Amino acid sequence: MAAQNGQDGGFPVDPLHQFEITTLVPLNIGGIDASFTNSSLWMVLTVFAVTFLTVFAVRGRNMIPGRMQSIAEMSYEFVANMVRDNAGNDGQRYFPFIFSLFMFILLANFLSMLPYSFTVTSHIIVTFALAALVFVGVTIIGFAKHGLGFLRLFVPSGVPAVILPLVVAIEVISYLSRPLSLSVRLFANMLAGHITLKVFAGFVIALSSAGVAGIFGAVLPLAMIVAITALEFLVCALQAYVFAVLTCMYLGDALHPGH
Amino acid sequence: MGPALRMSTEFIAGVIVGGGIGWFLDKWLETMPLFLIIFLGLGTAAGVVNIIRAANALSTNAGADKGNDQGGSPPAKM
Repeated sequence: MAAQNGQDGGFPVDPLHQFEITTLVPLNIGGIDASFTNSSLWMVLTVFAVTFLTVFAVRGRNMIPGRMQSIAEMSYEFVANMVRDNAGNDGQRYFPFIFSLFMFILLANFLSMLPYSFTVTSHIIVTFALAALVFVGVTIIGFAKHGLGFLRLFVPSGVPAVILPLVVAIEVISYLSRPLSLSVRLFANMLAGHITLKVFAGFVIALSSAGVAGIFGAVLPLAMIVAITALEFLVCALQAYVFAVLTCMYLGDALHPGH
Repeated sequence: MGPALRMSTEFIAGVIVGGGIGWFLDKWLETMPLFLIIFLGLGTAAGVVNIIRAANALSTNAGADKGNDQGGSPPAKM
């Protein structure tokens, strides 16, 4: 934490310090650096949190659910409705995957709001791995269900034969751009939000060290931090929802191509 | 901020993927600027297609929410 403060005369807080990867347990498998880092630690904690919420909180199986059981049941129903609305009834088979994905991203985002925690989803490699998993999985499901008929997804009906090659090329690129836009959206939102929080916190420190007038001036950025923290909680939930709902839409495309 | 950021990422992703495909084809076939130019154009078009779809999905959902608060919106198909 020493590097966080007291850089010579500059901004009092380094907003990017929170995203640094530090190795906790060095591990090297076959020349590949597979160390257990702070990122891994917070992913494990996220999985524990999801498991706690979905397994232990509903252990009581009360007819009148308590607080934790209510949260688990509400998130279950929320994701179930989302899958049904966006992927159709035959998309229900893939509900476990969508639910795991949604809960992982949601709780990773929420845990990142704890002070001194690490934001797992602020690294593009993590979000890209999730998006690539969705992309490859959905493509395999599409080909497994429809064989070559899945390629109808790239051929919109009612297009004149002259411009068909052009349209197909554009459709293919549009399809390939999905994992990129999916991962960049989540990563950029989390990164930008946490940097904003840190920068405003830096304003408070910088102003309050400038005498009495500065302390009164520091109230303004402090009020901003409170507001932005609330906004960040909204963004955390919203981005998990967007990721899951787009996964459902892509799944719907794979199950029913040619719409 | 949400919808606006979504539109921009959709567009940029299209351009980057198109440009990337063109660049790799050029590396492979050693025809440096040719495919890069073609696929950058196609990628931009794909980005626009992405934006149109995202905007359609957005307006479909908004219309469904206004129509009935039961939330029984049909799957947003384009």
